Amino acid sequence: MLASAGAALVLAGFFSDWFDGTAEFAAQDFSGFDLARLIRNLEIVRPEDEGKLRVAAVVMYMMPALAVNAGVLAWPPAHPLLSLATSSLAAVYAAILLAALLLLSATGLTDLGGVLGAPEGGFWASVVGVLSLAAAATLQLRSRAAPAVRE
Amino acid sequence: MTANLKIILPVVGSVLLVGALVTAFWMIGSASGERDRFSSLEIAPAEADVYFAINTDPTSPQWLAVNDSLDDIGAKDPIREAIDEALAEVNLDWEEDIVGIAGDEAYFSVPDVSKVSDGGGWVAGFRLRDEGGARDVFEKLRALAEEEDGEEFLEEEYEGVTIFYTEPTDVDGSGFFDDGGTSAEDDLFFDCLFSDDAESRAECAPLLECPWYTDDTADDTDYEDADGNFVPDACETGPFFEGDGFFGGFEDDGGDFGDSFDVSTGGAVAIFDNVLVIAAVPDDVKSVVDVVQGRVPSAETNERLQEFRAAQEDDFLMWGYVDMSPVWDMLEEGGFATGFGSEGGFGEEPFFPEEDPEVDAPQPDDFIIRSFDSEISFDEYGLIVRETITVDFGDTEKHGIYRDIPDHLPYDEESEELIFTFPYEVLQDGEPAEWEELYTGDGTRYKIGHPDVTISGQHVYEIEYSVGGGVRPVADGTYEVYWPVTGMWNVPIESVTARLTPPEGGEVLDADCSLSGEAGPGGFGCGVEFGPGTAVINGDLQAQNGINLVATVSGDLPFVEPFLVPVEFGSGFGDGDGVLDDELEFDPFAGVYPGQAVEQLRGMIDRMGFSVSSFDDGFSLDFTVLQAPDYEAAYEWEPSGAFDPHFANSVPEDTMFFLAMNTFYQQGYTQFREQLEGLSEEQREGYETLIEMIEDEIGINIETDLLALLTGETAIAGNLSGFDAETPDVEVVGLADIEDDAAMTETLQKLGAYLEEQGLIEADESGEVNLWKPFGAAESDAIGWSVEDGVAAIGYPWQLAGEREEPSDSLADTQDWQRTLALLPDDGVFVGYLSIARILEEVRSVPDAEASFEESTDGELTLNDLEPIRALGYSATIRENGFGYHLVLFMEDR
Repeated sequence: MLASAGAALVLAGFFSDWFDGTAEFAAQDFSGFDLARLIRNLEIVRPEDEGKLRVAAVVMYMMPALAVNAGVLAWPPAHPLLSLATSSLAAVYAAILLAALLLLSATGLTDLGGVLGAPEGGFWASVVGVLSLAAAATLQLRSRAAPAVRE
Repeated sequence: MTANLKIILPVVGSVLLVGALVTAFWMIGSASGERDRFSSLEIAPAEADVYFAINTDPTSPQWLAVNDSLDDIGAKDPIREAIDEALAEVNLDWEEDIVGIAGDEAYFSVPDVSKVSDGGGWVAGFRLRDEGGARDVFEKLRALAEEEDGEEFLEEEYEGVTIFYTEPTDVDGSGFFDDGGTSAEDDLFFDCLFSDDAESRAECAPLLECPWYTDDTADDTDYEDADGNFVPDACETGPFFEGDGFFGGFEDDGGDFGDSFDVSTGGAVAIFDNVLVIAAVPDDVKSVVDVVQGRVPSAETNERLQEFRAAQEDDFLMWGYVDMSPVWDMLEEGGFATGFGSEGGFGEEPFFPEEDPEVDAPQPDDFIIRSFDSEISFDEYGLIVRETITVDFGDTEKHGIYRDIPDHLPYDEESEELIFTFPYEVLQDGEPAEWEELYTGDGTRYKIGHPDVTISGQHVYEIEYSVGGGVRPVADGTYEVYWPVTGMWNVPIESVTARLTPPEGGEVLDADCSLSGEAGPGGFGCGVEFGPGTAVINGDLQAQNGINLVATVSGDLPFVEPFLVPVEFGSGFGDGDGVLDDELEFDPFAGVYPGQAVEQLRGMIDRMGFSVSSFDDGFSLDFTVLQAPDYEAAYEWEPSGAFDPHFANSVPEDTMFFLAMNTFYQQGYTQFREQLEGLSEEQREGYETLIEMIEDEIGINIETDLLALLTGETAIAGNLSGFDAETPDVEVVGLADIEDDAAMTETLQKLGAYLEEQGLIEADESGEVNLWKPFGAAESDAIGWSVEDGVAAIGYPWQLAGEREEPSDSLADTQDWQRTLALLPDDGVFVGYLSIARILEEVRSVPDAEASFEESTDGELTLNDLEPIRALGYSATIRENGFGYHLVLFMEDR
């Protein structure tokens, strides 16, 4: 249940505003989906980076996809081990991605630093979703570990 | 096995689910993500003589790249501040009120250019992201306009859409210009003139009553005050003119001078279906409502535009299209001056014959000029001329007359003086005449008469105009005047008088008259009589003759710098005796008549377009010209293949400019020769004669001895340095692939011998590099040339012609060159390159340049800020159905 709620939050957050847009002549808030779109569209002005940009967009799309997958497999008759694995994977993957974006938005390491400003509601919703997935994974891990202690 | 399946199946399912979701996101992102290019066509009327679209999607890569580029040169903040300040004046905010509501594209369209002069005929449409936000912004602006300008907005419902509009206010008038006033004064004047607010317009009401020309010499509207001081009238001391020497004025539809502008200041707005439409009149907004609601076709169905759009493959920042067909129509209907003949009466419709100009050319027995009286006086800019022309058309039906005034006068052996004429008044039989001012290629043509009315019998035309120029100081307080009094008419003039009145306080010291024209002196004639302080010329003229006035006057006139240009095609070429002494009579427009010229252009330039795109490392501007589908050129277009200028390997890396052409002989000269076949016989003979004269003089065959040898790349490169010196150092080298070393050597030797014979150079062919030293100059000023291994080089200083080894660090090795070329199409007929970085480097070597630049931008920009701007590239391409021009700006991404 918690994993599904977390997945829903990650998904909703992905389509809500993640970051404030700071570029004066290209200023608009970006959702995760917008950001993936932007990265893909950069192919037009950076054809030499086409491959890298497409991979980056797929990496972005993977986050909600993994979360949805974890949310679906949290329900029976899915194997508890698989549920634990997908929840963990989705949480870790999303956590890394969100942390990386936060880092890139705050530094000049890439052009995203000049485009993205402060995180907004959608970003924090995704963070809460990630925490929910992580909590669900932790609970599953503890429930699997508990019988062994009793024995 | 079952246990394994319980694990494997969900894993497989999981992978499939994740894969399916990623694919779905990818597809949705593709469908909605990339800006729908040319989407504004869907909300624009199908007819489009002019169409400009702009990408307004703030998350598009184009704008991100613009943002990045502006940031690189430190211009982002100043521009943003300027925008913020401008928007703050109308209580708007860039991010909230503009970016927040802007959709992906906007357009400006003129469906029918012929309607624009009626005050309507244009529309602008904007895709909206936030319709509610757009309504809020409009309400803010509306409230501001009502409160501050007293603007009254009316409302009209059309097909469920509310159109807000203001009543148009017409301001018709005759033209004026300019100036000498400060821009602030001009702004005040224009604000007043074009204001929608009656109260504001009242401020300039006194000016509306002024005659359109104002001067500061005495006239009948001036007066003397009680102390006898000269007081100019109100028009000369208007609130915005005082002291600034404003040159001209305007009249509110008095009719005397014809309307040269007609401004409607109304406007209409509607917001519906996520579209904002702005137009001059509600009807134009309705046309867009019909398009958006699907009742009439959109611009997407415009085939002429669509065909053009198809060539525009890339994403763009701005994109524009002009259908030249209506422009050519307007020219053929007489809206433009293209006459090449002498003046005379103009007869039956059409004004400008399409097939044969002789049909309308006045014949000697068409009519006669009974008298031509000219009053010539002076003002501070030159001459004031008033002509009274009595014309007897007899029984011939005519619309009126042409009066041609030249735009240049002879000055000395080398120069002509450009002059400018400004009409004050044009009367026909004492009443303001219908007239039109045209340009003939040689000067101004006043076409006087009603286009819909023919007249016969005797009529009197009065024309008053000023001439800027034509007066030449020859000594302190003494001036020489040359004026072609009558011009040349196709009909006889029975009586000519020209009265010259000297400047105030001066007198006519000397005067003479001369005859000119096809018939030459003789037969009819002229003479001069001197009156008290004046001179009067009397004469009579055959057709194709003119009377000229030459006089010397004294007086007090301000010095006006003459605007001199070289005599066309100079005195010169000639008789094969090696001395340039004969006048070449060559008119490149000979035998061309207006209809033919327009017809040629119609086929050659059917539609034009441009697009501006931004890249991560710069901007590109592309012009495309499409020929008419059925256009058959006089010669075969030759689409060029890939062109990579190899001479870029032969010039140093710090080269400032470089221009290379691909196969000059085939792309240039042979096409030129074939194109001659399409010209008129007179034109063709003119060109042939010119070429023959040059060949006779120099003793070479231009085609076989020179141009036919240039079958590969031809390039010119150079450098300027020492900007702080009085004369900057110049280095220029020309390089050409050639077919035959011996033939080219012989040609250059002949050319050198010819120039030496002319006394222009001393030729020295004793060294490895041959020298052409300007006569009397030092060897260091010599030009050098050499021919070796299939390459001809000519350079200044001469040493450049001898540097045949490719430098270790050549221009072609630089990143600036490589990336600039990468932004250009690779099949250019020629490639141009200008290193902005090198120019900046030289500028920075000038003392105080940094400080001066910073001061000129109020500290907003420094030369350091401009460092990312590296180079400008230029090329042209030839296509099956037209040609293109490409300009790119390479900026280093920082």
